[in-house]
Amino acid sequence: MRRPRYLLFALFLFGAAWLPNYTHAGEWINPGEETFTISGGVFLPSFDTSAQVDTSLGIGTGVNLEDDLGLSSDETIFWGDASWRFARKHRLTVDYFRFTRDASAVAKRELTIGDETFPVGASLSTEFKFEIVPIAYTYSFMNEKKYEFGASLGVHWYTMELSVLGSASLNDLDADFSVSVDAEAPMPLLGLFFDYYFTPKWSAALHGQFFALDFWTTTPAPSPVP
Amino acid sequence: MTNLRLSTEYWVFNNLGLGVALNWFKLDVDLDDSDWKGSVDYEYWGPQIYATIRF
Repeated sequence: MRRPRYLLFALFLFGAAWLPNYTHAGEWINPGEETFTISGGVFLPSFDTSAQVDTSLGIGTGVNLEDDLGLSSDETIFWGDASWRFARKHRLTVDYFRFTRDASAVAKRELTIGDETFPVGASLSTEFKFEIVPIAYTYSFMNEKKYEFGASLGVHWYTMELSVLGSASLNDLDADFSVSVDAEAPMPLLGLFFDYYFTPKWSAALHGQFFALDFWTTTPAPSPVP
Repeated sequence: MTNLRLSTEYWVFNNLGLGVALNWFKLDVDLDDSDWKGSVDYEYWGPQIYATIRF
């Protein structure tokens, strides 16, 4: 599956290199004056992931996916983003990230995940998918020759899927376990960015997005004790 | 949720640039989905190497 993605990325670079030097006036496109940008590349992240899947009646085990389930803490993925500057200070952007990790491991402690309890010594086979699609509108408070500063407002669309298969021998009887859960939701995002242009060809940027709210928690708070 | 990205780009040609970046992301959320009740604490960071076209 990786070969077509490498080929796609190579075609992307090849096509970009052969693009004509297109501008309205046939001149160099200065930073902050482009209409469309499309980016793609490789990402080599290190992960630290914990998850808890509650049972129908109680609380599940807090599971570290790297330590307890054997998922790799490193991964190489391809990612992409696109931006449309439809006015000098206004842009729409979309990014795409997809992380898929799977692993096999032996349970070193009893794990309750959803309505299944995996005993110590159970053979575990895990797959965890995490997808992020941030979509944002960006407004530039300042778009000058040497720098651009602004804010963004949009949504992060998350999709998560966790599946764990297990097998174990209990009192000379073989037992199989299986749990699969998923969740998805948009989460609002607020962001700030600062781009600085050292020269027309060389720039640096710091972008940040933040949001603090238990958006997916809809469980009502317990009633106060009279 | 927090997402921070520090990057630098160099435009080799008018329409093609190359860049490197560092990205740190953290999501810590309680879930009350119909399928998944519980929580997720998801954190990653690492380098990116990429190409950009513009027009």
